[in-house]
Amino acid sequence: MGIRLKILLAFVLCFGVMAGIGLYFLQRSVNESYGAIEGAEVVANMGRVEQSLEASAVSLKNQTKDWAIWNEMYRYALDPDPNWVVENIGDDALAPADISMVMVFDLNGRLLNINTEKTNGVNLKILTPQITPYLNHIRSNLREAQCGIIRIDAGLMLTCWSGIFPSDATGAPVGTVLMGRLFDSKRLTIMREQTKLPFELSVQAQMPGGVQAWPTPLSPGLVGSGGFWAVSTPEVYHLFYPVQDILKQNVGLISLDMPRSVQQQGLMLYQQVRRQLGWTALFMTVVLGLVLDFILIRRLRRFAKQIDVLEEHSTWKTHIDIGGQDELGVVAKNFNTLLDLVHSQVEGLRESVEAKEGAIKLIQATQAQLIESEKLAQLRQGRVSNLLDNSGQGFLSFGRDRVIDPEVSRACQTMLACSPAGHDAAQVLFGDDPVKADLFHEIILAVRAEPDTDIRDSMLSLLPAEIQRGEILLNAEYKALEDDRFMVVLTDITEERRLHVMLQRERSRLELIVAAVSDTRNFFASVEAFREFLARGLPHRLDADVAADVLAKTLYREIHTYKGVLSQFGFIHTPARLHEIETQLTGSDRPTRESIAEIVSPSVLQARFNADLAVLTEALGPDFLENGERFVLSGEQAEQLEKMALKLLQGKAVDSASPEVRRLLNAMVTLRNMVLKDVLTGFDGVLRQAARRVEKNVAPIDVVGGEDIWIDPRQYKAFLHALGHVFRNAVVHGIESPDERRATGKNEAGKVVCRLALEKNRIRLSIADDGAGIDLDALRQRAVAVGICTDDDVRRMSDGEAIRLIFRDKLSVRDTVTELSGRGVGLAAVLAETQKLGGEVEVITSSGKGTEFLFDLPLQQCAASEVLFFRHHRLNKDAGLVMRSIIGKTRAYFESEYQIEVADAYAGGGALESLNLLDMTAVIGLGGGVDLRVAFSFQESLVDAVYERMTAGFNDAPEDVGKHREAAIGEVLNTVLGHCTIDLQHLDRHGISMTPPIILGRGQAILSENGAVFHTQELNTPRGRLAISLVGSREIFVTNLDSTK
Amino acid sequence: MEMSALRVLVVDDNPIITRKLCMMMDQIGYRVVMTAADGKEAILAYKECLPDVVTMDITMPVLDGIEATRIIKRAYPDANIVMVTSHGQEKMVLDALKAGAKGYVLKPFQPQKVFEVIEKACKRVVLQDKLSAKLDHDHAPSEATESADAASDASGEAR
Repeated sequence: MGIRLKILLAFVLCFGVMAGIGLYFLQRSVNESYGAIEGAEVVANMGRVEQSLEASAVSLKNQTKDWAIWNEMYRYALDPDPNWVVENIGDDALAPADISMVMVFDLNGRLLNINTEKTNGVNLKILTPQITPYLNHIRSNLREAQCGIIRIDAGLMLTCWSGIFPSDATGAPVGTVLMGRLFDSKRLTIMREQTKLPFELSVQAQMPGGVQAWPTPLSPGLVGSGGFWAVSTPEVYHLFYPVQDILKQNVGLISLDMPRSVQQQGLMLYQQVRRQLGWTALFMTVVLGLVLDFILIRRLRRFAKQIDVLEEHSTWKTHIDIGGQDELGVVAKNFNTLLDLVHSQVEGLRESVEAKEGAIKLIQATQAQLIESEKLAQLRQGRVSNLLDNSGQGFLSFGRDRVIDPEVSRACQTMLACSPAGHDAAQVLFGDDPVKADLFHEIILAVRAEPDTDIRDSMLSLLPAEIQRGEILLNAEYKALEDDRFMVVLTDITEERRLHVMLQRERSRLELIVAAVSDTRNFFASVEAFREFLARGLPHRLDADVAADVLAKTLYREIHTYKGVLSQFGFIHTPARLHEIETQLTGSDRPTRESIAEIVSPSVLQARFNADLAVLTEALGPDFLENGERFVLSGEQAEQLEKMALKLLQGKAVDSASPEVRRLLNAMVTLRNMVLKDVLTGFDGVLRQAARRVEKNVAPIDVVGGEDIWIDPRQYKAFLHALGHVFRNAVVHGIESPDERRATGKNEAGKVVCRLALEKNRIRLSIADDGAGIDLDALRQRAVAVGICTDDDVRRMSDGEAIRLIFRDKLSVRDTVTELSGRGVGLAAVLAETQKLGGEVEVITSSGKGTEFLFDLPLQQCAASEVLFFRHHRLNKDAGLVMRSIIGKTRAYFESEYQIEVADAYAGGGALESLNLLDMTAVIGLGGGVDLRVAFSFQESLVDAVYERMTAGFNDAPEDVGKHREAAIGEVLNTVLGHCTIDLQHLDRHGISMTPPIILGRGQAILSENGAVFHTQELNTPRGRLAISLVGSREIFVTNLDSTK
Repeated sequence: MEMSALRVLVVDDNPIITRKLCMMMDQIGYRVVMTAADGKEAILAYKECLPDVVTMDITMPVLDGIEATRIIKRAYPDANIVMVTSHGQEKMVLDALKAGAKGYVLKPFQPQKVFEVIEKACKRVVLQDKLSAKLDHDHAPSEATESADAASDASGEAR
């Protein structure tokens, strides 16, 4: 709907409303005013009607009054004369006065006269019963002339009456005169003409329904009370005036129909106005429309059209122009502003879009650049990788998680025999060695936690510098990088090492040769011992009926010992082979006898040994080895010997108490000494031989104890030889045949057990078999048979005495004489030799269980040789290791620091009661897995030497000398052990601790407590002796000594 | 008194070694301000004289060197402590380094090695000395003595 229409509609609406309201008010006022007019008219009209009646009444009243005071009337009343009546108030007198009736009454109310008019010659009938009430009323109201209506048969009649008074009107009435005028149609018509109102007077009429009392009644008159009723229609007012008679009774009704002309007029006016308004409205609307169109709509349309242009040309840069300063103009202006705003926004957006496009291009360009740089970086990386890969060194790096980064130089693959990238560094580098891997891990963590670069470097220097990967030996350098990263640089030094090793080998060869030549005694002892081992010891072991793992352990111990000793002397191939065997033995999980034999492979070992010996024969000639033991004395020793010999030759005494002499002499006998255990173990061969001969089964000999009992074999030679008989006897006589043994529920293989113990310098040797025991009865009989004893004697003998018969010559239970037995000489020899040594022998037998020989021999004092140290094959390998390490380091220390050569040594040990010390002793405890105390006991002269060298350069005050001497030897021990712990650190992953040194002076000893065991090695130097003792709990040193307990 | 004389605390339970080290320090040109014979003494001595560097033995009675190092370092994080000991095990060295030692010399030691290790551990202090020496030298040489004294007082306080 157009705006024009809207506006017009609005206008029309307003106008309509306005007009409506106006018309409404107009109508009301019109109604009011015309109503008023009408009302007045009605009242006026009714008044007129009433007036006419009143007027009639008045005239009648006057007439009456006149008559009332008529003297004639007075007289008549007093004296009625009917002639007078006819003359004066007869029927004829009525008409001119327009009277319908006259009545005269006398004083008493008696009717005197009545005259009425005639209608159509008929007198009016008045005197009816009806008028009686009237007459009564009249008679009572005579004071003054009154009028009123009465109803008679003919209709309503106006009546006036008065009392007849004398002409002066005083006194009492003498009678009543009554006059009447009948409102007949003639008179009514006249009245109508007079009033010009068409009213009706109806008798006894009732008012119709629906009438309402007129608000403004007339004043009461003789006709009525004044009030009248009306009912109206739009055209006519129906008025009704009730007529009352003198008795105030309604007797009739005046009705008047009044046309409402005023009303009609008013209505017409109203309608006219309305019509006028309508036309005006229409006219105004049209005008308004035109005006609007001109002033507003056109401009709006122009506005719209101009906007259309925008759409056509799609541009924001345009302006609307419609002129005018009014609101429309403001709108147009604002619209223009809006257009400008939009335009600028659009421009702005365009710019930002352009900018964004520019940015995108830039990003794309940058991306392209990045790709370029990436390519370049890759290229560079390739070059760097190339460099690294061709460097021949292995580079790898790892970060916090210890996983090796993928950037690894190619050489790593060959070096580590795997692709290290992505694996754990510790695993790759030290996979086979958990100790090293652990250390690696610990050090890396410590370095990470340490901010100081110097300390970091120190820590890194602790990492293993060499890594063995199969055949390849790698040198490893470690560097800490930023970000908790580490780099490892590996260099293949296999060749280098091989050369080095070769050089070493050469050196070793030379050493071997030199050792053979210079330390011949010990050298040959070692050679001899090893030969023995190869020839007898090893095969024996392999043949022995022991469990495979026990065998492996045993062999390992022995081989380890020999390896140490031989390498000490510079043997080349043999120690290497021994090491291989060692490794293989420890490496094999479930060894079997066969596998062990294969690993050990005596033939190979022999070949190697020969190879080493070949070096010597090559260099020193074939005779060298043949000539066997040589004894090399140091110059000093030779000199001393010479001196001693001279003295002896000169007949002078040699001071055998002098320590030097003792030393020398001891040195002489040193070599031959052997461990008793080994000696007895050697009898295994005897057992075997015997067993084979008599077809019996014998288990390998068991020797318990005796590892620490050293003897000079020569001293015991005869005894030992005789001892063979005991063993042979055990097999031949003691142990039963396999069948017999089976029958009695014993093991098929008989067992011979030797037990050795050292008690207060006496050797207790027990040789026991589990055979059938000695048949004492048979023995007794034999003795009698042979003639040694009498019947009586044997009967008298106790079992204990009887058994000693076996020691008698010529006594043998066997009848036949064989190679092995029968001569009866054997055991007798045993007894003899035992007694020769100063010992005793006892025999215990138990029938069916076995026989035991118990020997009690004195221990011949001897000094054991260091070189037999290796025969301590039952020594805990750690103690042995400790001792070897100490000796080695001591040698090195003295030689490098003091240029004091350490040579010769003898060893001793066992369950000694006390350790006799030399002049000054320093003791340090080693903790951790070692748990030993080490005592360095110095001879005074050696202490001097040490003190001199240590305090060289500063002068000690005399009071400090003693303290410093102690400090000096303490320091020696401390330094040596400190170096040893490096060798031993694998024994305890937490490291081996050391206590500060304690110094013991002359006269003090270390006593054996709680079963402590010592092992001592004495070292000799040109400046004095040094005794190195390991003091430990028994368990460390010995395993089987107390097995019988 | 030379300005570059490092102040040294020598800790060892062996009087001979202590003596030797003191002599060595003199030779090098350092100044031994105090000696101690066990870990506890070492801690007290450090507190008292606040040396530039400490030579510490490991095996000592009462309190061992590693523990003493740890305690001193906790109280004085800048302490320069060098272990001079016969304990060669890598485990021990690592423990000492972890406890805060800056260097490690194995007995028997060469003076040169000791010197190297100490110099390395104390390079900060040494550099400071060298720097102040140089500065003073660059100032009017005629006033060398005066400024030398003044600077030594200052650096003495700074230590």
